[in-house]
Amino acid sequence: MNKNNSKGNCLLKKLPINQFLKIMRISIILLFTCVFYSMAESAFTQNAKVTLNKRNASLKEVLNEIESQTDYLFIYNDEVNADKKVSVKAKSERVADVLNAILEDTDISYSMEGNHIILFVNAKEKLKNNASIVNLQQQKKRVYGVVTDKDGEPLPYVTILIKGTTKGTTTNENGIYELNIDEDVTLIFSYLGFKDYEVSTKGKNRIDVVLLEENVALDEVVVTGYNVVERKHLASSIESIDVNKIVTRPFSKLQSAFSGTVPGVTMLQGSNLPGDVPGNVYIRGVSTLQNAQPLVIVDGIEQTLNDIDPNQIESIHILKDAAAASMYGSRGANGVIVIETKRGTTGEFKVNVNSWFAMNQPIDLPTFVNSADFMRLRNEAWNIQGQPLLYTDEDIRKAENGETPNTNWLDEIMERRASAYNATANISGGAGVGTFNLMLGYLQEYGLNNIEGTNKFSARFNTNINIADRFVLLADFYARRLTVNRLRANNDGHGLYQIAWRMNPTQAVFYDDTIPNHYMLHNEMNPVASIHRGGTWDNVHDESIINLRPRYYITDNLNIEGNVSYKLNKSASKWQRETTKFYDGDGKPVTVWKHEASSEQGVSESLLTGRALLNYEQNIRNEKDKIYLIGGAEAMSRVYTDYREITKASFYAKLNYSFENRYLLETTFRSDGSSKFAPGHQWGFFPSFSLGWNVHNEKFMNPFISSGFLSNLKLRGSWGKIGNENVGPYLWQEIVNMWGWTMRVPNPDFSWEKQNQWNIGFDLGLLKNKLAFTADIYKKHSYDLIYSDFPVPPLTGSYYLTSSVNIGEVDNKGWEISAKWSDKIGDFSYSIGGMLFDNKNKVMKAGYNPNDTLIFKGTSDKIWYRGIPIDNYYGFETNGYFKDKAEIEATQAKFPNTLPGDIKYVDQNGDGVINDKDRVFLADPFPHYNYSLTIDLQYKNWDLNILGQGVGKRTGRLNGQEGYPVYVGGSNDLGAPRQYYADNRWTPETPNSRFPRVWTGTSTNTYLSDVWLSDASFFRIKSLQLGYSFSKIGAHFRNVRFYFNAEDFLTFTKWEGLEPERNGGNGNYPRMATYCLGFQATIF
Amino acid sequence: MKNFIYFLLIFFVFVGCDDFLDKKDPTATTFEEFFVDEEDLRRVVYSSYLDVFTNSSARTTLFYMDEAKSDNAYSRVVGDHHQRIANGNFNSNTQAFLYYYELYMKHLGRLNTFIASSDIPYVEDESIRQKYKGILEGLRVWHYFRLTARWGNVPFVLEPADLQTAIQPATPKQIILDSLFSIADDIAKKLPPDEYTSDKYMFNKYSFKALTMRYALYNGKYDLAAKLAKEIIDSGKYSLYPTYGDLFNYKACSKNKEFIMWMDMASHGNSSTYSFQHLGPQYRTGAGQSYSVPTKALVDSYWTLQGRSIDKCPLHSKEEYELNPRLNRDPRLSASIMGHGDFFYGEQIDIYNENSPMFYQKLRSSKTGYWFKKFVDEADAFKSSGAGTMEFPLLRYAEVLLTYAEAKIMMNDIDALTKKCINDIRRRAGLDMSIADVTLPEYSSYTQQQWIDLIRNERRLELACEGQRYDDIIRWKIAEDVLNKPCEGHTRLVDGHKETLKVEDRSFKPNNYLWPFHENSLKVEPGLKQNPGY
Repeated sequence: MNKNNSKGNCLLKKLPINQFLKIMRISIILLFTCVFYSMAESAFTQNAKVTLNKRNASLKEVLNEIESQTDYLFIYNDEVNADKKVSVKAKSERVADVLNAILEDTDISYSMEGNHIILFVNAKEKLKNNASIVNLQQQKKRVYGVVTDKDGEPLPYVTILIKGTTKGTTTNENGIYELNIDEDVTLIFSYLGFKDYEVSTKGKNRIDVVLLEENVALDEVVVTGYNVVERKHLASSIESIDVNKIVTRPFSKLQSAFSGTVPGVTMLQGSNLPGDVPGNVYIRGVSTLQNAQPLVIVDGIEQTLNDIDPNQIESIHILKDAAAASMYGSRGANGVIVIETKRGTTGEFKVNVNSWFAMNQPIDLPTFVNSADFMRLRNEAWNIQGQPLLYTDEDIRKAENGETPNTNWLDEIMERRASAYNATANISGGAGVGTFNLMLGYLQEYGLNNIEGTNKFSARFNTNINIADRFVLLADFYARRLTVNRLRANNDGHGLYQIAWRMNPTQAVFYDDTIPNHYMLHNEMNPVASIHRGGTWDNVHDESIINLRPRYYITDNLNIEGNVSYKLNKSASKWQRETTKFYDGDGKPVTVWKHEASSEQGVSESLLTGRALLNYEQNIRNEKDKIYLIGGAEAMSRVYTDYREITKASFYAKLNYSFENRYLLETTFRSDGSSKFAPGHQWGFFPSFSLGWNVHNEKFMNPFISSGFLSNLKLRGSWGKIGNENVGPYLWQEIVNMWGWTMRVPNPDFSWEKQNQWNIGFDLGLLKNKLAFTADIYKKHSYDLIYSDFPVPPLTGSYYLTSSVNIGEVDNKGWEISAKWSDKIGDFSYSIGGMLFDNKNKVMKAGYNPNDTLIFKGTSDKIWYRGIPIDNYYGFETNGYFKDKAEIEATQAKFPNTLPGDIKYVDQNGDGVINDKDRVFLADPFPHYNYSLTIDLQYKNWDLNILGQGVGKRTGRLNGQEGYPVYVGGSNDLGAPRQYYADNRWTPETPNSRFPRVWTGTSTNTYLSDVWLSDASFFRIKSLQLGYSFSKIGAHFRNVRFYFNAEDFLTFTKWEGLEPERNGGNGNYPRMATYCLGFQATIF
Repeated sequence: MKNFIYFLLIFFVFVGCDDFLDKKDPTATTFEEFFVDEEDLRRVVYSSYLDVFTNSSARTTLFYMDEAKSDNAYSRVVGDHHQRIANGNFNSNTQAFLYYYELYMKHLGRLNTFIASSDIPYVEDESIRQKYKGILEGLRVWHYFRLTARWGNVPFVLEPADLQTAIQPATPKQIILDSLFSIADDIAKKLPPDEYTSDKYMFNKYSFKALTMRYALYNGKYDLAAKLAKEIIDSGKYSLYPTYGDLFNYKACSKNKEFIMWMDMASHGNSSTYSFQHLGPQYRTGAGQSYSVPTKALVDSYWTLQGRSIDKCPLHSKEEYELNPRLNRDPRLSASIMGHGDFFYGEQIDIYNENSPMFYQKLRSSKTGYWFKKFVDEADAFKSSGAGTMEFPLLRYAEVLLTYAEAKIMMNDIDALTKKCINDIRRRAGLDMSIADVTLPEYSSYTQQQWIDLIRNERRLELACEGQRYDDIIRWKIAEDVLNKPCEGHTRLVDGHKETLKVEDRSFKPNNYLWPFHENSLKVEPGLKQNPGY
């Protein structure tokens, strides 16, 4: 939607249309009276009075006399017969009255604009005088008016263009324009720094226009993807993100923008790996076993967040409740993010640039014990385990003295400081025939070693082509190339760190001898060799989009829109490695990394979307009410190059009705069919309803409004049903492979996931909106949840022993509150905002019956049964550690091979065996009591923004080497314990320690138990930005701003692991704090 | 403009068609489409073998890897499913129990379907159909033998099952076995008597009888076991290969009359074999991974050259034997196992040299300091990924002789054939028959228990690394003893003290003779009853 093409969403100051038309029909006198009346109401003082007494004088003479007595100047062209004789007698009468008298019975009309009075020949009068139709058609029409800003200040040199042509004019110094046209047209008003405004000349001569500044709050209108609605007419829960704030934060992926910025939306970031998705965005909890990420719609096309350059974004709206998301029916159950990209504006050609350079600093590096302690701890473990000790006192002494290696492997592999560079330019302009905006973006990230990095180039070319007065084509083109360079060894980007963590400090990078490049391999691994000898692995991901949206305005209020879009994603990778021979300590060959060079093409995906939409918008009942109505149909076809194919068809209708701006109704009906489901179960119907009440518009609220205490109070309530279909295709089908295996048990009843959701909320504005407050509570009941790996009895003889079934129900209940206080004291303006929200997740059914329990094939660490969250930690409670052999002997309920210092598990049912029945629900892993705090300060040219974000309650899991003293899961005991573990481990002297003993090999300690759970709540300064702006530098630079930004640089947490936004693990690319310097400007 | 609207209308009318949403998997077929002719039938038989019995790269199911479930060997990778079963660190959530149970059970479900539909495909020669049907029925019996050996009572279903009928209560083990042995008898009658010229891995009459014999012995049906063994001996189709060690490398693995059940190259579609990679040591740039390595317990169990156990030898002390496994020992030891001090590829193995890839603490080295030499041919050492063309015995003639002897001993009916069987094996092994001959007077005073001990140890040595040991210690009920000791490795003198490498503690509880049903299986099949103690 082109929101600049306003249909009532701009404040339009003009003559009331009905009244105007009536006047035209009656008489010139009435018209003049009326014009006079309206002029008198205008902002200009028109009290100047004149005294005249002329008989048969020329019009010119009379006008000169008026000019001499007043400040008025008359403007007229040759058409106006200035020599016409007139008579006038007036004594201290207003100029308008005098003119009315003089010009009565002439074909001349006038218009007062400030201290100008424009005279012109009235076309309608000519029509009266001349009956010739031919003449009429050739007769030009004159339109005129004044253009002001919203404070009434006239705007000079505003460009006015006839849509679909290159013809036009500009306003004069006083903001006045006039234009001759052959027939009714649409005019486009454009002015630098202001939003374009379009208006039809039909039925109008005088068109006064108020232009709105570009940066007027986005809150005014809300883009729901299919149409644009004024926020005051909305009854559903829709949030937006301030795009201006995110373009200056050094994000490589847009996901980062959702952390701490929107109530109800969570995003936990685990690493800063270049080219990788930083974390998943979840809206109002998780309600599916499938992909729970929200649907992302960019200009009407399904895309992923990481594709999008923030600098190309005009607006981001988050549709949270069912009433808002139901427009997306089957795809809306996880919430919807609607993004519109920037479009060009008519008028001056300009370039917006934004560029930043960022340096990264790892903030989650582990501290492992040094080599002497490593040897001591290993010996301690072997001693407990009754194994021969490998390290002698002499070995330990040497390590202590530095005679033997003490390698910090992380230092070895982090070869350089990670940095990033971003440059974007938006080149835009336009004329009556249309507008364009070419948005170019380049992002380069350098990883922690000399090979890893990524760069992204994106170009988006958005055009509005005014094919005819009522026919616009929005033709958009997008191309993106993402290049990701990784190591061939450990090409997921984290593997290198996993290997480095599994080294220990006694191991050296190189043998201490004369053989060149004599890398020491430790269990076949050496992360430094992986960088330098392991080869490279390069990936390229291309995306291109063509998006065509023809739109035809049948009337001003009714348009029909088509949309055909095509998106193509392709990827390829290439890897190569040169031969390296490794030798053992005796100089004998031990391993060869062989030459390799190869490339591969990924499965590419194309998405074709077709859509037809009817959009009706009308003020009715004398503008007291407003109706928005859309209806349409949509078809999508997704084809992969391995010939998998997914198709979808949808029909929908949506009505918004605002009754006297007090009562709001919103209702949606959508029906979706998807090829993913079994025949007969492909279609789903998704209705929603919501009601809003603008209480502040009620008469009884007047005392509060006029006292300035209350400015806004809206109550909202909604109910809706939406669906989810985030599963692979063909899951319901009978599939037999070439060996006669039925791959899975087909399910002829396989269908949608459904969700019923209600939401109640209110928006409150107090003290002239200085204080804004919003609160929502909601409940989502999701049912028929899909489990695509539902286990079936093995005697069915299917290969995977699974079937895709609609099973399970989940409730998500939550609340969200946010508040913001903004004020201005002289040059100092500030705002302080905060929000707090929580979501509680509960399984209501986990199987065919409410009491069923569902366990998962891949993991035994979580379970599903009624009453616990969808994700959970399911394991043992513990009761300290065994203190000696005697205690182990005396305890019946224990695991085999238990040793002193091992975990004592609680035998919940007292049957003397520690088994599955002793496992309990320990905690859920979801973030609770999410909060954030924003402070925006502005003083003269300085601005400072701070965003703090926190999670009040979360239980994290200390698994992997972040928790355990060795690497668990491989066959060799690798890695050194973290210093924190060493300091808190069990020894006979510290029997009440935080952690169990040190161990090697398999251990009974690694079962999921409360020992390995820890408080992962945190508060962190997400972003701190300081900016300085110049409104103008030289003739060509405007809105120049320099800024410094620091991200994630300060964290407060009790988390015993490394990074509270992530659980433990066996090593990963580090989480970084980012410091960036940037620059924004508009160039002409 | 009008054209545009028409276009949209046409587009959406087209879209409205039902077939727009009718999408089928482009790579899929249906059961009816699949099962058409003789080749499909053969394909089903082939894949039924491959998936469970003959996959040369699947370390979870390979017969020689099974050794690491027992006191004979140690498996270093938990995911191979052997280690936890050997050391007892398991419970009803251990993945191994789901993996094996589902593997056998889903194959049973599939076999039931194909056996019931075996009349469908077009086959020119009806006897071919009967042969394949018999083989499929034989495989079904094999699966049930394995299932009952591990879990005891399991659902016993011989008909195709759907979601409802696949849920059945467990049938008592004894009832299942009674049916199985009678079914097995019928199947053997139907199968052709001779080894096939192609696909010799598939059951013929005698290879199937040999399999039935094995499980008759496992299940204490000694008379049946002895009877079947005698039939096979009397058939004259098989004989011991003269050189024990050569059977397990390229010299004789493909050409001998000793292998009865083959895992030949055809059984896995002529893909490579990986026994060197699985069992061999990392040597230079070779591919050995030491996934399953022998223990001290196995090494110490080898007879002296004279056929005595090392603690009852008048020539050397037990400690001498422990410190030097090359001293005066049963030649089968050096044919089957190598370790510290032995030569591999011309180089002496030193497991205590930290610079060597064979240093016992290294990932791809042996934690016990020993390696199997069976199925580890030096010729494979530097082939890409250790890939070879080895052929393996899933059951060989020596087992038939051992079975006859054990069955007779258990029945306390030690006849001349019993002793001949033992002697044939000992002689071929290369023992000093002047002392090891069990017909000698020294053996005449043997009690039944002594004979039992002898035949059990003989079986252990003869079949070491061939995947029999775990079933043996379970059926002999000695796992509580032998799997309750730490897993140990090489022994040496350090400063005058005997120091033995210790790999891990092991424990075996009396209830561990039966495996637990995995929690997942209990949820999916409410008819199952968890075995005691889990």
